[in-house]
Amino acid sequence: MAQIPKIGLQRLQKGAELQAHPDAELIAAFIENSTTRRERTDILDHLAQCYECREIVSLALPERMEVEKSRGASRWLSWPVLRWAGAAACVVVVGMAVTLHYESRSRSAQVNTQPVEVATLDGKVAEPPSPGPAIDQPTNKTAEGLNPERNPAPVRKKKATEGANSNSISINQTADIAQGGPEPEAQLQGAETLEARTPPAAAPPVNEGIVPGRAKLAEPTIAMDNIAEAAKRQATALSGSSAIVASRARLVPRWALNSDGSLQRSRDGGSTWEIVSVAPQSRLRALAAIGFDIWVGGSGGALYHSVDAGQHWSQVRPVADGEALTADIIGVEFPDPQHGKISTSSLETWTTDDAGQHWQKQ
Amino acid sequence: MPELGVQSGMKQIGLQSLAEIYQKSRAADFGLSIENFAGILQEVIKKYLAADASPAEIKEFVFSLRVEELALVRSCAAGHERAWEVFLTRYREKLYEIAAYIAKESSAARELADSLYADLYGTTIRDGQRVSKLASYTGRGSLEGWLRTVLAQEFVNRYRRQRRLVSLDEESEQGTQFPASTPEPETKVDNRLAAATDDALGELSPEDRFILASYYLDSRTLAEIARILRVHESTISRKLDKIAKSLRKRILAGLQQRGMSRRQAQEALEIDVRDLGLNLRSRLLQETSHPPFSNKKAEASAGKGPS
Repeated sequence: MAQIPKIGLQRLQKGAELQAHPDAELIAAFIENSTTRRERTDILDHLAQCYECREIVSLALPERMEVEKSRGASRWLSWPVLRWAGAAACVVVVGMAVTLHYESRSRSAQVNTQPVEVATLDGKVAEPPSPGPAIDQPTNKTAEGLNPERNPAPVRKKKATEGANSNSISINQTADIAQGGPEPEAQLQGAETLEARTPPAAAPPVNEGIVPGRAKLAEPTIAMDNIAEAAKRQATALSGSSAIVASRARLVPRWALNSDGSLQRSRDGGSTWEIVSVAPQSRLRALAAIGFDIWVGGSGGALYHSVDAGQHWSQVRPVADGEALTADIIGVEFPDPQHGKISTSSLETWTTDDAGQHWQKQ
Repeated sequence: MPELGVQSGMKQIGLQSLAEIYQKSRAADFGLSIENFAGILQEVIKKYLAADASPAEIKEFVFSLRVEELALVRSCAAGHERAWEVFLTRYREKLYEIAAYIAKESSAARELADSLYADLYGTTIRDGQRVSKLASYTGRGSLEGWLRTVLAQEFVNRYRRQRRLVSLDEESEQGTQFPASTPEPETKVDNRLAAATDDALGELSPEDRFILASYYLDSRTLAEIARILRVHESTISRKLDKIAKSLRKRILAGLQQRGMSRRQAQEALEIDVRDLGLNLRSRLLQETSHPPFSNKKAEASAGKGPS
């Protein structure tokens, strides 16, 4: 790294006459990135000259703080994004070439029997595979103890089939992706393949049968989503590409909660993070994530659920025996998409066995 | 909706928005009336917004506040017992955890937390009224973040006071001569070099100067600086390299604008490196004879202590 001239260090120390020190409010707001642009500039200007205020900022940083996605125009050109875009583009090109090759040989040939999803259409919920060494346990954390390093096994939930029974949910599973190993064989009991049921790139499937209402939909904000979805579609037509399987693993995002109660998501294994706007007026304090399925809870009984890695959210209002959950949620546990437990600051425990359709209070 | 007698700021955001935000704050649970709450909001608006802020700006600002925490804290400051119960439940343990993280040593941490707790409760009486530090919280940042900052400020102030006392004791024990009343004359720096450097530093953004000061003066790691600025560590590394190169270039350009030839300018910078390197070292040894409270090599600022 280049060194600055010593005269630069000396003059930097002298600096201009110190302005008044920012108060604790502004320093705290600066640390949490909730100042205006002008305030931030003024605070940085002061910090550049005041050693003690720099020390205060350093000491006041939370012990665990996630890094936001890099600001500025460069984020679209950052190396991880370019690398991922390059990999996805290669996958798309190779996939198209192989597909065309197979189609030209035989139009009736089966798609390669290394499916990436298992579906049941018999009205029963298919349990996720038993956790093995290659599959991380689902994340059940409170805001304080959150570990954003987990990479849970993805479990995708699809729309209820011929939906008389609201519990009839076909669950498509992918397994053993974390190590890029071979995936389980399909149990095609009349199940459609992923290729046939591929959702539109911009609108992943949402389980409308579960939640009583839907939060305002959020459009994907990153163009990488479209590339990733296109890559996913082509992946089903290929045979035994561990690179593709490994790239799917990276699609499962990581989650974290800030000390100010906002939700953050990382799509690149924790290198960069973005704020996900779920409930701007609630402080979120707990979350549970199983693959693309995520629950977040916070102040005033705010509880939100997404089945597509946070692209769309639904607010869930637990009610039991005519009583609604209104206390602050401080713990959310979902060992699997169906069974969950909510803990509140008033020592209540709310449980569900059907992914939030019905609740019991203890 | 009862007549509230709201002041201009509240009038601008509208009674409906005020009712909405009052409900969101749950201030009623803590015994805070809507009138009192409106007064608190008015105070915060007056502190942070310009007098000519538009109604839309005021509304956006008010809705960005942590109103639930603000209501809780101001109720505590007003002495509402219910509010104190909630505050203690949520934050008492956290207070001691934060103090432990800052002070590292357990007895110092406990003393720090106890001291702040007393300030928050309001053991100081002024004009017959209990004065609580909580009354200064305005909801701009989270309450936990504010508690961290207040604890950090208190810790820094304590260390600064203690260092003044310890330095005298240690020096008399060690038989060290007290510094001469007249400081040694600094090595004369070419005015053009100082001016060109000041101009070059002035052209840097505040963020760049902060990064330079943190890295070169405080010896902070790239990771620490990245955490503060909420960017990736590699971003800081790239910035530092870029700043260092551009600073040298600008100083040279500034010297040439002040009449030096390129060669003279380069020589001036080279001489500066040799002489000022020695001078800086001797100055550092004089001024930082005791380790800073954060165990980092740094020169203390000559400014006044923070509030």
